[in-house]
Amino acid sequence: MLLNRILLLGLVVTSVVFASSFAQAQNYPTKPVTVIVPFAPGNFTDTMARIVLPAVETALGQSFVIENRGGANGIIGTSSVARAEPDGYTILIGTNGTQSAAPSLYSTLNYDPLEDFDSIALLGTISSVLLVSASSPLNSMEDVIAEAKKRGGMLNYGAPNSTARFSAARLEMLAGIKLTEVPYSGTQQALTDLIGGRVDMLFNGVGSSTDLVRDGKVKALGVTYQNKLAAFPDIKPIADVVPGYFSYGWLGVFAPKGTPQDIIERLNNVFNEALQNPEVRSRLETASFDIRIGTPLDLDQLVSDDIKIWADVAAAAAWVKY
Amino acid sequence: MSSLLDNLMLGFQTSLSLSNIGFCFVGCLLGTLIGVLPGLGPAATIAMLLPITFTLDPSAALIMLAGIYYGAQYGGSTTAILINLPGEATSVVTAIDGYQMARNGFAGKALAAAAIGSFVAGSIATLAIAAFGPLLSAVSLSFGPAEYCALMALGLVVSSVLAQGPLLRAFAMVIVGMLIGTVGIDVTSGYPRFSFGITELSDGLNIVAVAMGLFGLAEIMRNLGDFQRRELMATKLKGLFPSREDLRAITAPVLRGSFIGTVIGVLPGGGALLSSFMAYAAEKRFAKDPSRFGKGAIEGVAAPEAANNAGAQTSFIPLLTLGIPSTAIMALMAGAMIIQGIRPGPGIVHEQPQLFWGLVTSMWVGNLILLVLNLPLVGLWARLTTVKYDYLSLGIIAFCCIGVYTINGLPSDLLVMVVFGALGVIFIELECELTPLILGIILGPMFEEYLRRAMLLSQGDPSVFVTRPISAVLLMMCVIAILLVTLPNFRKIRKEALQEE
Repeated sequence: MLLNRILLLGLVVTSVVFASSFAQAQNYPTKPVTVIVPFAPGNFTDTMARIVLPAVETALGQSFVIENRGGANGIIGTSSVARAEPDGYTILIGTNGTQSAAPSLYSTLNYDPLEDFDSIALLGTISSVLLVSASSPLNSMEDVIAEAKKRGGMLNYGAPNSTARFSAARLEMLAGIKLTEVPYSGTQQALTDLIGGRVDMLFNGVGSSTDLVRDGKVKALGVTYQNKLAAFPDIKPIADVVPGYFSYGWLGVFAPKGTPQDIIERLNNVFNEALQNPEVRSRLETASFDIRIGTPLDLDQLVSDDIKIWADVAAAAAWVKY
Repeated sequence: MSSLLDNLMLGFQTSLSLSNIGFCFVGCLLGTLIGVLPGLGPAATIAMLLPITFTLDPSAALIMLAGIYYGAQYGGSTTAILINLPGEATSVVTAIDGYQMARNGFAGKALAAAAIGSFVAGSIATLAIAAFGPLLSAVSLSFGPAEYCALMALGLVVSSVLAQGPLLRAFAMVIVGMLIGTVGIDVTSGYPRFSFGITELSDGLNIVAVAMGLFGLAEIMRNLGDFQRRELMATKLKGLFPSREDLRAITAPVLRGSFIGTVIGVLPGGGALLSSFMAYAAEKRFAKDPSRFGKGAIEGVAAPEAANNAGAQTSFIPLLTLGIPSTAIMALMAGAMIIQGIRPGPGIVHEQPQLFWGLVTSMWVGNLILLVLNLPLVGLWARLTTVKYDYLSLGIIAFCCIGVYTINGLPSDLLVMVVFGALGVIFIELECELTPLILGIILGPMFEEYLRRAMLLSQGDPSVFVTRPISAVLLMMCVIAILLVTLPNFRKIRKEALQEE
């Protein structure tokens, strides 16, 4: 009798718990969701978010409102999400820059990418190609390495962002060469100087490279992804020459730590479905954004692996944190 | 030539379709209305209105965005003229003489001169894009760090030459501006400078917040502090539209401005901004009586407006021919293209000629619409200057705050605006001019970045600046500009010295 009551109570309790958590994910979202994009409108991350989110809105029947909080390479917006209420109504479009590079670049970083966030879904990766100007004597990765050794560190590369800087530093580390970094404040100037033959090499995103390569304005020597890319079927991965080499940017969706697990699962499903929507797919492909489908755990793994790789490269290149 | 005509015809078939004229009109109207709010320049306006265009078809979306762009550009000039609030850096020069004209009761004339100048320049630039697009993109490729560095140097020299007061003070203000411009992360070394560990300062001072403070808030504080000055504000409007003599006076300046803007506007990184300054400086040089400048010379409004509008259009060239966005606004346009499923770049011309030429010709249509839209509005805008200043000033402050806050959503930007408002009052009281200061703030960091990059690429050899022809010519122009302004002074001093003997 007593046992029965206890069982009954247990049943009631568990069903209430189940029902409430079930209801939470079932009802979510009951109001608009704020999506923090930690960059200015029109930036690559912002553009990708604006392509994916309409499909998410359709699936969940609520609006997902983008709030651009740019500044300090995405750190300002990202740290605001780290401090947001973990109720599923504030999510972040994070990048390899804000989640894996930042700990190696800033000593005053006011969030911990692993401790302060729950991963929702990886959206995709952005690979780069190593470009040289059309008139450059360099024609292959082997040439680059030989030339870098011959010129004893004077071969230079344009560095308009931390991903490009990282790609070059990792190449230096794995190929055992030294290069000269020429910092830029934006890709446009770096590309102009590359085409004009003033800077030797540039790691540039695939999207803005394809037309320039096709028109013969620049030559592509290698892709930074481990495998060949659809956009450059003839260009070998750098890894073929420098074993173990890869370097790519990525975008992922994150929530503040402590967001209910069922909401995270639901968002993961919805974002993955959105990525498979044919129209979304074709637009992302236009931007040479390579869609990746995965679980929240996959993204967790990527972030923690990436943080280590960045730290290694930063140590090898003796970058000073500031 | 016939292919050019064919292309233009193809373009007009797209841009003159009824729906596209409609979108162009809506874009221009929205752009003007939002751009006229202080602090909301073209970049902020486009960013805000970007989502509206997502559901449209690609050519309609781009035509509308382009309309928003020059609409906002034009709106920014309107506030520069009426209330001394340049909506963005390119209208800083317009404010110099435009605001003086407004204070003298000629707000209508100034606005009309700006509209007409913009239209003429827009038409010339449209033709230039159609005829010489690829050639102009070659110009942008030939500019490396050494050339940019020399161009920035010329800009800095010209900005101090532009000043009305003593040359030494103008130079001092340029230098102070350059120093203020060093705040933030140094591009070359990656180290933060003068940011005191404050993350919000790591990108440097928000230039719009600085301009709103220096020009807008400072002017309001001064007007409110001085009763007589305030009474003067509510002037009777005189002559709403330019007379035939006015039109004759601005013809040559507008043409010169269009030419300068068309060429310099192509250069990524500061091109459009420099073009308006260069145009103003050129007019001051060409003028029979340069002393009228700064006191409400109509040429001083028409020429820079023409230049910045021409520059605004030719800044599309690097994006459309190389896929390289030359300004923050062009980066937004590139983003809009990607969202529409179009990859910006040289491929557009061949793969989607109707889109490319449609966009080019829509620029001309847009300029025509702006002219038609704004000439009737001139009277309405001009009447703003007759509103009682107590109310007007409150409105301006409110809109400045909203505008500055919308750019990044950072409360710290509002503090920056207030601090520079106070600094502005102090500088004006000390009779130090603000135009060279803001130019120093904007051009200084660019000058430094290009200088150091040029030295990095030349492996420390400074001779690149004189051995590269374009850079050598630009530096020579700097020297000439300095000589031109200092020599008369020396002569005057010598004359005075001689008279005393």
